[in-house]
Amino acid sequence: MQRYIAWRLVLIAPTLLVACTLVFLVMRILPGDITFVIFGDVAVNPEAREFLRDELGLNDPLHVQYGGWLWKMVNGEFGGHSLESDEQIASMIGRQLPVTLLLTVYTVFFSIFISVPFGILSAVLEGRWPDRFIRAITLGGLALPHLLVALLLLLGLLLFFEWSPPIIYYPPWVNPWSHAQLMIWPTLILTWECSSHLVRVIRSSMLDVIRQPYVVTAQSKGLSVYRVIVWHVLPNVMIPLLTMVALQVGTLIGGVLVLEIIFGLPGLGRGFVQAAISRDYPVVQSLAVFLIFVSLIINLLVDVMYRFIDPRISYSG
Amino acid sequence: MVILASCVREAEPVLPKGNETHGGSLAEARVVITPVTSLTVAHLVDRKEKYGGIMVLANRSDPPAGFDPLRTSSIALHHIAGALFGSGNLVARCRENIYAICPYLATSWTTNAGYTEWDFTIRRNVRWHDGTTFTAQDAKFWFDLAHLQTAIGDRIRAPAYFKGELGDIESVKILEHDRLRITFSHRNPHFLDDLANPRFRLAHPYHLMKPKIEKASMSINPLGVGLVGVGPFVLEEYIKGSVVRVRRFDRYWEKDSGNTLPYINGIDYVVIPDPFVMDVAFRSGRLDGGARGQAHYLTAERKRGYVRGLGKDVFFAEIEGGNFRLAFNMLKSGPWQDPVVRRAIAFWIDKRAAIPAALGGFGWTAPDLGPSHILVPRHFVNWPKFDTGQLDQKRIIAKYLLDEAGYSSGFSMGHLCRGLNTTPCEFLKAQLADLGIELELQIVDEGEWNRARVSIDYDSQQGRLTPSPIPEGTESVYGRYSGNPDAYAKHEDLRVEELYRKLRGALTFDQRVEDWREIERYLFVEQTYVVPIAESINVIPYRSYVKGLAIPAEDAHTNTDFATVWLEKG
Amino acid sequence: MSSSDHYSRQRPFLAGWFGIVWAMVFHHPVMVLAFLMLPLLTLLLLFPDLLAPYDPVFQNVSERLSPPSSEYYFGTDGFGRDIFSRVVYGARVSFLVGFLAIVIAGTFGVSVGTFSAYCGGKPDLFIQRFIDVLLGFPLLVIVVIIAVAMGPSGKVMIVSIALGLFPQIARLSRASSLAIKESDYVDAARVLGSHPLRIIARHILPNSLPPVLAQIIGYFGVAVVAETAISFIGLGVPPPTPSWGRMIQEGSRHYFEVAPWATVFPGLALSVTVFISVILGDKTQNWVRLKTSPSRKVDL
Repeated sequence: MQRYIAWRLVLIAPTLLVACTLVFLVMRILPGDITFVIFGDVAVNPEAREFLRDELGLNDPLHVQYGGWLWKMVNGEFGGHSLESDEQIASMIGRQLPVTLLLTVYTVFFSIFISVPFGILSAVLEGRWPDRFIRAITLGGLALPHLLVALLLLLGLLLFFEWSPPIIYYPPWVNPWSHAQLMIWPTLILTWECSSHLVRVIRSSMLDVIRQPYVVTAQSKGLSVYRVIVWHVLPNVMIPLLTMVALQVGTLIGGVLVLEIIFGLPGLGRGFVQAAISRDYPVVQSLAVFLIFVSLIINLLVDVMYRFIDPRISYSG
Repeated sequence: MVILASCVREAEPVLPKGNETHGGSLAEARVVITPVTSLTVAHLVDRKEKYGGIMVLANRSDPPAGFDPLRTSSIALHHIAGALFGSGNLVARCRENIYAICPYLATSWTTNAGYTEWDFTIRRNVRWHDGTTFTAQDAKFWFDLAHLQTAIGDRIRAPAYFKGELGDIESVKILEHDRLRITFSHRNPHFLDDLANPRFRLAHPYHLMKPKIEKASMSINPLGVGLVGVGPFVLEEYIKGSVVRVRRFDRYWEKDSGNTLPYINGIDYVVIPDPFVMDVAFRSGRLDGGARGQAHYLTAERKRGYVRGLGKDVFFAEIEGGNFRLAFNMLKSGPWQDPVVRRAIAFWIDKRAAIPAALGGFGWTAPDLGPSHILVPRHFVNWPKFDTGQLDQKRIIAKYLLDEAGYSSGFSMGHLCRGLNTTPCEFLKAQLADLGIELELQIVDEGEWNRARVSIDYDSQQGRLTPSPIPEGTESVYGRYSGNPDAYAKHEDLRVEELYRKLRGALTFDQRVEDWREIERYLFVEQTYVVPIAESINVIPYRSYVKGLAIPAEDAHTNTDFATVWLEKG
Repeated sequence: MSSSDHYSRQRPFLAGWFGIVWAMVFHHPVMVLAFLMLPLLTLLLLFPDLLAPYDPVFQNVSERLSPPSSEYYFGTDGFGRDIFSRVVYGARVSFLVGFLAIVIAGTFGVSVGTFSAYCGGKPDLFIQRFIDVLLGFPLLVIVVIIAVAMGPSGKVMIVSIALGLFPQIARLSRASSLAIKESDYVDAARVLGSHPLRIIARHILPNSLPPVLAQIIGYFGVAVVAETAISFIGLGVPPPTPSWGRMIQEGSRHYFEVAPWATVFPGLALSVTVFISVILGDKTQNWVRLKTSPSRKVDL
């Protein structure tokens, strides 16, 4: 197992390199360039534009740009500067990552907290009304788009309470109360969806396990329901549950873009889309590589867990 | 030397449909007039100034391009740039009359008989935010950055995007007694009008930027030197993606009837990209004023929500926003080459319907300049052939004209559409569909739109919405394509060039109006290179306790310094 | 978990592939209902004007923002266009995008995943790394980059969503095939000298495919939601073609309070679509589990 993990870690470097190249090339295919965005909605004489392109290094041959960027990735600058705002990319990520990360952590935490008891309840009371009720709610969580829920929520808060969440994001160590007032809403919406996934996983794997012979045996030996659940069922549920959690984390980190826009959270999703639309190549490239890196790590964890579950699968892969 | 002072008549707000004479021809202005020393808001009587308070405003996005006004005209920057860098440069548009020019960082100026040499006297006791005195050196530095390409070794710094609007500057020299001389290669009688553009702001302190440029840090921008400006507010904090906080600059030069400005202690500009979110924030009391920018200006429906929720606690600034139009590419072959076809389209479009459908419910039908413009005479509504008559009748004529031109079965025409706001495009498409013309919408993002606008790749487009206080300046959008790539309609009609030359040579005000009308007639009626549809109005909400706002008649980039604002919170 | 031929051993009424599909579809009343609705749905998608009373792009500015009534079932939007008709036509866009995206992603994903699992060794490693790279991009990120690069359009969206879903399907398919590959049955076939393609088609795929198919049905909902999110940002199918995401954006931005029907109805249509997709996916998933372990009666 250790060898497998070490081998996978080593493989990350070439994978990232391939990813870098792919992203770099895709961005360069794009028509239009960032000088049009920087100059705003005013027409500029072509010389001025050419001068700016020179300034930004956009007229250098492709391999020079590529090499330069790769070097900047490795030497700690993490890709250099944003073309649009001249900010260091490392500081950009440093600024945006905590926001998205906090939202992810809150969501996962609340989701696990909610879904474990409800999932167990749902499985144990299978077919009865609490189970049906919980299943209905989880269906809602999966079907309703975040977007609509967020908009309705904001409108509702305004019309019924004449209140809206704070408009400026503060990290929790600066202004915890304002932070909480703002973050609770996207967290709730995301938790609804995430815990829906988790409840379903818990429920279905619990139901799988409950039927297993050894559980029936344990019960017939006179162990209390509680002991059976905790000592025999839950351990088998944990692994698919954690697998699903890992998958959800991967989705959350890049996928909460819409909510970030609506609630004004200066996170990775929003930053990425804005950079892509502006053709801010270095930012898009670096952020993409960063996201892939995170995902590779998560995938590694998931794969390791898969092998835990099913030892028959050989390590030759 | 003819001594010219600023063309300030006694400050008089210009009211739409009024019949006061816009007296004062250019000839009359060759008289010595005591320069006005401050931008007094002379007509607010019985006001109780109150110092203090922080105003919270929404902003459309983070200011782009490192806060550099030489690089961008985006309102996302200029909403904030006014507070940091002031509302003008050497001159500025007067607060109470946007069509007049007031001194700002220069106290007076003279020009020679040929209008090729302009001398400015720099105001004393103006300070940068770090305490350094503002001198003619700073002014020269800024002009050089704006119109010259700076090169050190093989690193280049591009001139400002608006270089062309300054005219062809030959040299900028510092004279004794802190004066600046700008010399042009050709006559430039309208230099002040061009210079008094609120987008041209000084954000480049010589003592901070020059050393950086010497060290070949060519792309240094105001953000890179800490946003040191000469405006009424100084930067306190900038959290990217969230908020820009500015606070009162204690050594700001401007006074208002003896009171030092600004009145308020500071402004927090909060970044809110989504207009609905802004509405929610405003109506729950978290904002004192709305954001500026296309999507954020209120529509009639959203305004109703504000009124319903806040009633008397909110008031609305209404600023003329620019004309919505359909412009043709005359350099591309197609059915629109025939003026009869263009005329038919002009008759067909239901201009009044554009206002609720495409302009958010606020606007008026106008050829180009709105009713409050000084060049618009009293009979503005009766402008020849513009939007008079019943729509049904006009449509009959349109169909007839189109048949005459041989296109009774219609045709298809491409249309460049800005992705940021496709509503006007959809409106046009639906309108023309009934005439049998298929308008193919080609939707592009911001980067491509900025490129495509100035190219001749598209059959038709709308152009930008920006209004223009200077009719002479409209040549850059109505003139020949070869000299004006950003022109709405792409044509090479020499007659248009001739007409603008005539306009620039006008010696009396009435002549100026006549010449402008002739241009309008030629452009919109005879040739119909452009179909003007309707003038939009930008509506910005403010809480009622926000007093002292200088709301310009047009151009929302103006007066964003908020120096005369106070908060009357009981 | 028994690794024998779960499905073909059952010897359904009709043999082979057709039998498997038949069994999958008809094992539950809900699935039957969905199956019967399919021709109706196809008809509606091909001929929306059967259901939609108005032209979805016809602007009637004087009737703008009217509330739901007998004339306009869902009310009208800011241009006076009938929202009911737009929802019906918008379904065409969403369903087409969703369906084609999962078909493309499914085809490529299953092929690559199964092939990779079967080959093992170096090709498997190589392909796995490639999949990992693609997996690293969250779905929306891929779609945004490609939409920005190629300009917004229906085709671009289908391709980019397919690209985003493909790695997950490939991964799943590979894992599923791996488990089958190790079974004795397959080993036996290999020893007997069967051609690899035959082994894949006859033994591996029939067993590895159903769980993947069940997931793919669920992905239909994901694809439709992705289309909506992209349209909301403004990179989706260009106007005036109606699309649910765009309708939600227009409605919420300009007249949410005054005319909530312009936003809510497309949102509901979206929710119902995802809901159905999830249920169908569940039922199929359920059937799969049923088959792999007859002792359980698991009902999701």
